[in-house]
Amino acid sequence: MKFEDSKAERFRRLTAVFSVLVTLYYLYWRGTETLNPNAIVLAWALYGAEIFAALVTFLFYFTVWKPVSRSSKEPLIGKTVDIFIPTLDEELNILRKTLLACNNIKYPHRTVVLDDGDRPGVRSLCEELKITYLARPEHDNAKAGNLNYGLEHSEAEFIGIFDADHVPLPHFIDALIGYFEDEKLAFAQAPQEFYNIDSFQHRVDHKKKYVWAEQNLFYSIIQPGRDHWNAAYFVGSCALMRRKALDNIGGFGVKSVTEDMLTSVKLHAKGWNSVYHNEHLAYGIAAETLLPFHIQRVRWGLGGWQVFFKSNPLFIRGLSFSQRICYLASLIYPFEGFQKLVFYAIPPITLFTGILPMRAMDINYLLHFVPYYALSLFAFNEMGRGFGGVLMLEEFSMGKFATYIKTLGVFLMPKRFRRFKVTPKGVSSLAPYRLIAPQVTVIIVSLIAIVWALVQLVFQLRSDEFIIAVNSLWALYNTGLGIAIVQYARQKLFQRRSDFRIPDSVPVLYRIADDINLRLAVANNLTKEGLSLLSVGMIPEEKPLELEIVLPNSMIKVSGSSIHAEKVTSGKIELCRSGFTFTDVSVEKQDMLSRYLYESAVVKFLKEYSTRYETYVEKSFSKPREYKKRANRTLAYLPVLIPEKEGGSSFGVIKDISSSGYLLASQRSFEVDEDITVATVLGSKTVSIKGRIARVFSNESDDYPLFLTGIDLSESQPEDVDHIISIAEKAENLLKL
Amino acid sequence: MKDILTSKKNYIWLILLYGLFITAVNIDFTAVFVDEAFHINMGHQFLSGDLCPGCPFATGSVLIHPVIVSLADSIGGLRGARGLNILLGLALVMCIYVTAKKMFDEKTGLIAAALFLFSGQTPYLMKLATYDMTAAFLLGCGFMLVIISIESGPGRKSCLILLAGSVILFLASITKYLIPVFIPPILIYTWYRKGFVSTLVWSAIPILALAALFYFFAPYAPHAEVMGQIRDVQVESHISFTRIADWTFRWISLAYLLSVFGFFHEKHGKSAVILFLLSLPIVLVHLLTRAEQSVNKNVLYSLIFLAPAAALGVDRIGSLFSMRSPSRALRHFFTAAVLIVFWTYGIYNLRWLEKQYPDVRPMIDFFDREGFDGMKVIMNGWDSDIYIYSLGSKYPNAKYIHITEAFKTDDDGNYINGSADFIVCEDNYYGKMNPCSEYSEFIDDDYKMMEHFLFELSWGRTDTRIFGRR
Repeated sequence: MKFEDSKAERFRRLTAVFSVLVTLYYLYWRGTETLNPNAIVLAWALYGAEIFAALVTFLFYFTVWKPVSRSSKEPLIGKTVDIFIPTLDEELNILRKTLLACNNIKYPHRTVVLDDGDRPGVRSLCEELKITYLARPEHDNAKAGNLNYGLEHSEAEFIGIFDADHVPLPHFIDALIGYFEDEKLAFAQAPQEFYNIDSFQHRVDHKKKYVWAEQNLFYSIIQPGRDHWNAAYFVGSCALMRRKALDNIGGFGVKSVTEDMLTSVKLHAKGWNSVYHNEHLAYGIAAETLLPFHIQRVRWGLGGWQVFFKSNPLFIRGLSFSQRICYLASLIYPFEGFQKLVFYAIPPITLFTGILPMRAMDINYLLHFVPYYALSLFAFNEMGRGFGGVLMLEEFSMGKFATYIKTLGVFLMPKRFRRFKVTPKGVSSLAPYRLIAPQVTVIIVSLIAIVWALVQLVFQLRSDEFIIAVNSLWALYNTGLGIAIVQYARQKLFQRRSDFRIPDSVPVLYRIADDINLRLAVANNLTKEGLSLLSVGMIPEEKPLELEIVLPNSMIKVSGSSIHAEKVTSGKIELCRSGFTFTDVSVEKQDMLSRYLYESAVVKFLKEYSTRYETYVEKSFSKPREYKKRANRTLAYLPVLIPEKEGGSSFGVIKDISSSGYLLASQRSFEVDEDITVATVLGSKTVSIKGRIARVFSNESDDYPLFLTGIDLSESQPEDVDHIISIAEKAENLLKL
Repeated sequence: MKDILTSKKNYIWLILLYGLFITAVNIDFTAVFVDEAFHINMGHQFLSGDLCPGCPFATGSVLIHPVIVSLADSIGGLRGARGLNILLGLALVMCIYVTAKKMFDEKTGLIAAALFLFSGQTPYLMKLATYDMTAAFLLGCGFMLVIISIESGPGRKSCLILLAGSVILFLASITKYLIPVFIPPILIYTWYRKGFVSTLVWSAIPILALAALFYFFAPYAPHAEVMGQIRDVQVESHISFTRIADWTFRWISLAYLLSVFGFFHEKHGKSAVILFLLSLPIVLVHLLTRAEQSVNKNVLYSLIFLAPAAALGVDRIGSLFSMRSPSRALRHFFTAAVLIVFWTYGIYNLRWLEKQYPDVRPMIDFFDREGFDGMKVIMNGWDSDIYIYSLGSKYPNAKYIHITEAFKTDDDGNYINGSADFIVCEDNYYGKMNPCSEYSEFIDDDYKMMEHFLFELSWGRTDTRIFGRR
């Protein structure tokens, strides 16, 4: 997203200023006129929570005042780069994907695995992939210590850093190294993007093709905002760092478990610059369930406390005022746990006791509160530039509040009792029920309090009917937040997939055992262990299958066995969606698949999802768009044969279709206005459809070229098109199952 | 049975059944209220062709409510009169359901109907035979027809529906002279939705023409006396702005709060804002005049417009609090939870309202026991209609004289109205403008206290003392 200094931008900044002024007045009024002298603790708890909310909001507005959009610069030539992959106990298959991708990074470099787990398996993996393996004798200072050990064994001018689960794209170094023409630049940071959008941290609307990720706001707005103040910070992965700068501060900061933030503070304090390059250059695994999420946030929270109390950027010499403000904004988040606890506790307390934190909840209060709150929401939403999602953020605050409170306890605990945990990735991380106990408590207490107060009201044992009504609504809202977290945590708990299935549309040739015929189908998602196949005609579950996966520029032959199948019928045609697990796939083939999946398929499918929504100001200020009326398209995923100019045919996939046109995915490029006839493969039969090329898009990938071609069907036989559409509709239903 | 439960349409009957139950089960909750008695008496006087002393001062025309309520009274007594309003109230609930359904959808219609009925004011005014519910019904019905006309697009039928709606809005206006404050906003809304010419021809001109005819030709049309009466009420019940604001919103703040959520409804947010604005005139009248009198009844008219907006809000809350979960059960849970909160709030208000005025049955019993035909009763309040209505058949020649008139004497020192047999002192409520203490020199010598009644009310205690001639 480009953050132009447009009219809309100026308006939203004005809104933020106005919101700040209104908030200040509201807080002044609250503090001077409304605090209940008969409930001092409650009154100050709520007032403190409101002040904290205002502080966080003000700091947010400051941070994101003018987000920066950068474009890559011409890469510097001939520099030496080491890529560090620190690891502790991540699964080997996860590490393998990362290392394979590191080997494919185009800029000359050396990949170094820093194994803090001293695992022979990792050593063998490195030997197999010709990657440098380093394991230090002492395991002190956690990840920072590990990285510093790597620094001691590196001569490179630049250090790239990836977490073990972050799979880099081949142009990672090329995209970032150009920024280092600025001799004062310490590091260039790219966002951490996660491909497993079914994780605990994601919320997906497949229908609207919208995905909300908990860290979207940070990576899409806060980091670009900090970049404006030269305060973008290193997040521990997906960054390229100048060796000289790290040496200047004595290596990675070790006084905090969030070494990334501490290192950034130190670098900025020494006058080094930072850059945030907002392009996805690597894809990682987000916390899949509540447990890894919890462990991750305990670490972050603890790190936050450590930096706050031991290396507080407010008092460190060398930082500019704006950098101090930006760091303060990032440091105070663990306090949010206490703030939210107050917000969750006040409604039940009031409902049970009738004690209010303010003198009265009357029309005067509402006349102050409602405009302040509505304006704050509006301004926050606008300053979030469509990445905010207040409701989702609130939901996750509910998910984190107890965790952040716990981190203070961990911080105060003697160091010897603490144990550093990395965020677990992969199937083993199941959320234990105890982690949702705080949310369940909020739900139960809130509901009991509501019932208690309502019953009292009905029997006229209380007369504070409006207070009860408002607090009941507030408690219900908190209940909703709690239920959402519990529901999602439970849902993830029972999700037993071994890996996230990456949606795609790849032609696959298959042969059922004992059958000589090769048939064509489409894989609608795949991993390196299996795939889901959409075929015309049933595939018997008990028989093994030979599969030839047609990837751009290559074909992978594997054997597979069906693990489940669903079918629908369309007239005489049977459509089947089957899940297959590969039975004898070699490591080389798995690696080939892995490369394709993380360098091409992930990039493709994530591009299809939007991560932001249009804000009110954008809608109001942007020119009305001219929409071309388009027929409703049906998701098809039907395989086709495309005639080649020099004879023979290649494979393609109809991705969607309507009576007026269809979208073809193929490895062949076409010219606009070219006539084309493709044969849609429906089991053993084919149906030819004529069309004219309307537009062509390319993914511009050398290794995995793919062309999306829009084809006009106005000259085709309507009966044939209708027939294909009727099958496509069934296929679409099957894909939704 | 399953079909009955699964069809949304049937829920409206359940809502109406609830309305019938909550009102009919406690229809005799209090003795006849002074306004009920006033309207019924007025209707009887008008229909029998007698002089109607209250008619020129009434803040609603005698032609509508007093006539129909006195007819209902003739058939079924006070229960009949109150029963009529129950039916009108249920019909109004139906109108709100249809309005919201036409504007939005079936679900919103049902929620709007439920919200309207769940508010304390609606069931309270349904079982009170005053003109409030009649006027509310006509206003709701007129607005419903306007909406039907708007939603049915252009055409002759639509224009005729608009005309019918406008006529009913006019009838609402003459039923209670406060209703016209809603007419200009409704006309502006109609203009916005249907165009200037249609609104002018089928709505504005007919209303103005009927109003002119009514003003000049109707018996007991609202002339200077009515304005005087309204001014008196305003002066008598004038309170501070803070108090009037608190008192007004005490009854409808929750509905307003819910309707604010309706503003954020993805599809109908703008309509929620318009309905919110349409609900405001009566609130503004009270805030600007600072007249406390009947606020808790008048906000019923706001609710007619607020209920559909609040229903959108409830729907929005259902979606919001379930965190936009795809689970319908969760959304329904939160929608139901908000409705339960609203219902409880309404039940509390209903109970409060039911005990707002003194239940004067013991006093009626007293006169039934101790009184006699031809008795003269001095009263320091304006509630003589209660006794005229309750005791009229037993003591047709009884006279009820206001205390300000009772002790006036002629040049010879004789009381103009003759000596009274009883004095009713209601210093803390009906008689607070003319407390008996100011007349103690007359009372103490010739009268002795016969009964002292205490009343526990929602807002405190009040009492009535009855003095009899020594």
